[in-house]
Amino acid sequence: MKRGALSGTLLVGLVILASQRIGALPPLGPLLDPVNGVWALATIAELPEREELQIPGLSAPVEIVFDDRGVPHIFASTSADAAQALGYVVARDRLFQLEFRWRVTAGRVSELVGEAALSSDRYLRRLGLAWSAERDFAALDPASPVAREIAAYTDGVNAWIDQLGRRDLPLEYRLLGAKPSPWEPAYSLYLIKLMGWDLTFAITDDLRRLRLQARVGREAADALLPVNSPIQEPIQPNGSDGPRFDFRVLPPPGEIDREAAQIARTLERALGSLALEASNLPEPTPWASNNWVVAPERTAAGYALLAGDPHLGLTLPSIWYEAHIVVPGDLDVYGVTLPALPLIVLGFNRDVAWSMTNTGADIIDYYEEELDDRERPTRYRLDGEWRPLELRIESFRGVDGEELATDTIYHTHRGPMVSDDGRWLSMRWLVLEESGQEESLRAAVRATNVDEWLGAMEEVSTPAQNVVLADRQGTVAIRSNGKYPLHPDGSGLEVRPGNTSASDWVGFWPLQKYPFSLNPEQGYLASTNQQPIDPEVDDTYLGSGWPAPWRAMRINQLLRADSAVTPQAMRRYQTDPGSARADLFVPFFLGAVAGAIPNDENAAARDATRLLGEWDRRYTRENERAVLFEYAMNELVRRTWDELEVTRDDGRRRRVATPSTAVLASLLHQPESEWWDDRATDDTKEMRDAVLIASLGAALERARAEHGEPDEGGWRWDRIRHANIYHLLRFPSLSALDLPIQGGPGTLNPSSGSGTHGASWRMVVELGPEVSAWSIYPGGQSGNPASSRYDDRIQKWVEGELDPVLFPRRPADIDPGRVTSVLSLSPGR
Amino acid sequence: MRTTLVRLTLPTVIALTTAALGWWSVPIVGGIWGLLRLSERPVAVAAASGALAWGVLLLIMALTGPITEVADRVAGMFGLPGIALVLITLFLAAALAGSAAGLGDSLSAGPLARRAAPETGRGERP
Repeated sequence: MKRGALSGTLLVGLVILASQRIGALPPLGPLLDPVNGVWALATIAELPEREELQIPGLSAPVEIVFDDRGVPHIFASTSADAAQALGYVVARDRLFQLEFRWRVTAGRVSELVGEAALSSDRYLRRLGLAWSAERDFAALDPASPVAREIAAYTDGVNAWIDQLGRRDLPLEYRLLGAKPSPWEPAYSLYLIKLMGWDLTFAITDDLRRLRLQARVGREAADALLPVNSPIQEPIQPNGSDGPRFDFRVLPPPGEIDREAAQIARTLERALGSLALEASNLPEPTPWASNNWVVAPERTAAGYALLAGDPHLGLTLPSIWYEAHIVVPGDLDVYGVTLPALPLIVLGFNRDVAWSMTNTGADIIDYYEEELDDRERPTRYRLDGEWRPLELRIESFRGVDGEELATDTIYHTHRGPMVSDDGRWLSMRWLVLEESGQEESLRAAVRATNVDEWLGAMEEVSTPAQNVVLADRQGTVAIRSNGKYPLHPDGSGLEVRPGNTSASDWVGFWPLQKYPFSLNPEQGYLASTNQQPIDPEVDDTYLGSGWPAPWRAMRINQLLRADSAVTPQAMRRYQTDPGSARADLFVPFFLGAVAGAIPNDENAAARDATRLLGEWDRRYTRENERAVLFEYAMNELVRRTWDELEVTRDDGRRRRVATPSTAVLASLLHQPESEWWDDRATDDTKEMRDAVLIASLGAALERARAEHGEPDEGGWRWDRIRHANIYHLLRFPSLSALDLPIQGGPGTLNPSSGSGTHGASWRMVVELGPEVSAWSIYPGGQSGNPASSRYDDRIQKWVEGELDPVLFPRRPADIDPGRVTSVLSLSPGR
Repeated sequence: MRTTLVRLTLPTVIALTTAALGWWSVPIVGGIWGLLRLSERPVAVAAASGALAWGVLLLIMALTGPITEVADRVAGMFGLPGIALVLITLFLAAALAGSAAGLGDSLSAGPLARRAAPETGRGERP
């Protein structure tokens, strides 16, 4: 009997363990079931050789041939069928990613993971991304081609979800004890808003500017975050054969501005933690997309060449999914789509290739509103009249549907409001307004030349992108494509009074003013997120705080020097280890030490100078000197901008914002500026060279302390900087970490400190009689970690290699030896 | 020969019911085995059969896909080596089947036997 009680107790315990979630531990029974549990992921890891399926909604059969890189070549009779097939295969490969991303956008992750996500959910709902996507979707004409394709894509995703067997459930659902939710058509638009947020919201300069102003006054803040970059290497050629240095005198640090500090606090609340982190990023920033085109007269083969590598947060599965869509007589396009969209975003068709980098224009403004009641407002004042506030009630639910919280969000005609200490700010953010991206891209992927492509994209609003284009006729072009607000006083730097409509935007840039170039005399065009137009050409306000154009300087230097560019060279340039930043700063370090009288205090700096002098200024993986320069730059930034530091609540000192390295370069030309003075030394007034020498000496000491003596192997760059590609849920065993890559801060393939940003997609296209292309992204087509296609491209990506892509006109054109799977879809009920 | 067949019956049934119904069939089959007292030492037999059944199923899965990759990835999430996931899986099957058989056996020998014994004498161990 006693044994029976023991067995019973043990059994009850085991059944609970097997059927219930305990803390973070998922129910072990369904998880470890050898047939239908996680082990089943092994059986669905690879694509079936041949599969025939009926799915409802198709108008005709669709043939999908997967090549040996896992890329689906979709051959359909109509674009709606193609969209449905794309939805089906994307869901088959990336179902959890689809759900996770729409939930992030909608602020509904807590329904999946519980209260832990409530804070970020509230933040995202307050921003209103999903609210605005739903509004855009409601405004779409259901009979329009784009609406029909979105609906077909939805049918495709749901066809996969509906027939999902127990074995097919992705790992993440098993871990969370969740089931996939049905896909809704509006979710496709959520993704566009999410990209808009990712590419425009966090980089707003308003907060950085206010924080600087609070610390050192308005005049100094404006100089530290200049509207115009001190180094001009614009995307629209300015006629200069190299960078134009426009170094201005930096006014000394001014008085603390308490009013600015108060507004900054309210804005910090509005922007949330993610944007707060972004506002304090090191410089050069890890966001670093590149693209360039070369005209036929400067290529070896005489055909236009295009390269693109958008840099984004790196994740597994990758943000992109590679696909080829063929609808005879209508569409033949290859490239990458964002899982959720029924179209190719970056890529090429039989005639035109395109790639994009982020423009970084200022499309957000904040307004301090006057309300009837600061605690429970119902109206706001505009031009002397009280207007009703629009209310949005947001309810947050947990895993079991229980209500976790309810928020009321108030809107003025400008957008959502946020409050702090009775101060209310509203935000006008172009991303919350109609994007026009889907309809325009739908037309653009069908363009037969550059002109048609540009015409199709005229109405796009957000996110604004610098698009490079090349076609088979040899035309090359670049345009910063998107809507740019015209601010009432010609500047978007202020938090404006909300009680007057005179504060509102007065219109948008006309298309003719957009940064643009077509077939320039120089024979190439490039963009790397730098200021698009030289203010000497057009000084209309587009934004401020532009990243230093180190990458632009480097790629233009490479392209200027190469009059017979090949696709191989284009690929090589994408991971080029050369650094325009090092080229500019290293001589100042060396010169400072050379000009100093040798003594005990600068002995370390003299040793460091010898080592730095040996450096070829390249961030190759085996390089053993780049680390010294980086540490010296860290020291230089820290010592120079000590006036910008404040003591936080935790007692640690932090800079409120870090000016661009282009501003620091500007300061190098003012050797006696007050900014060089070290505030910690009351009795001495340091100047430029003293700071450079001290920085170099400290860098050597740090490098020795952390990595040993210079030539013992510990200084190798690949031991110091890595790429880190985390799984969406950040499990290390599902991630690819500590990947040694070539490149450093400010190079074309920059490595950020955390290594979590990088080239999310690399593509080179040659627009010859037949289009040839090469591509790679850091990940794989499948979201199943057991699949060989989960991370099969990472090693090549690390090495900077690209795969030649297959671009068949019909299924029979694909070499049978390169076909891994064929999926035949036919109409069903 | 007959003994071998009898010994293989339980793992076969556990494997088939797991494939058809899911993990929860393991304690049910183990419990029935214990109740019916079809073998000596039913707890040990059921536990070994559970582990064997799931082990064979894992082997079959290994023939169709990369289960070592699954083991490494999933075990890695909990900071364990891949082999640990295999062992935990086998242990879970053994523990579910064994404990259920133990309970079944005790019920069979205890309350159920007392109810049945006056009339049939069943329930006493030979």
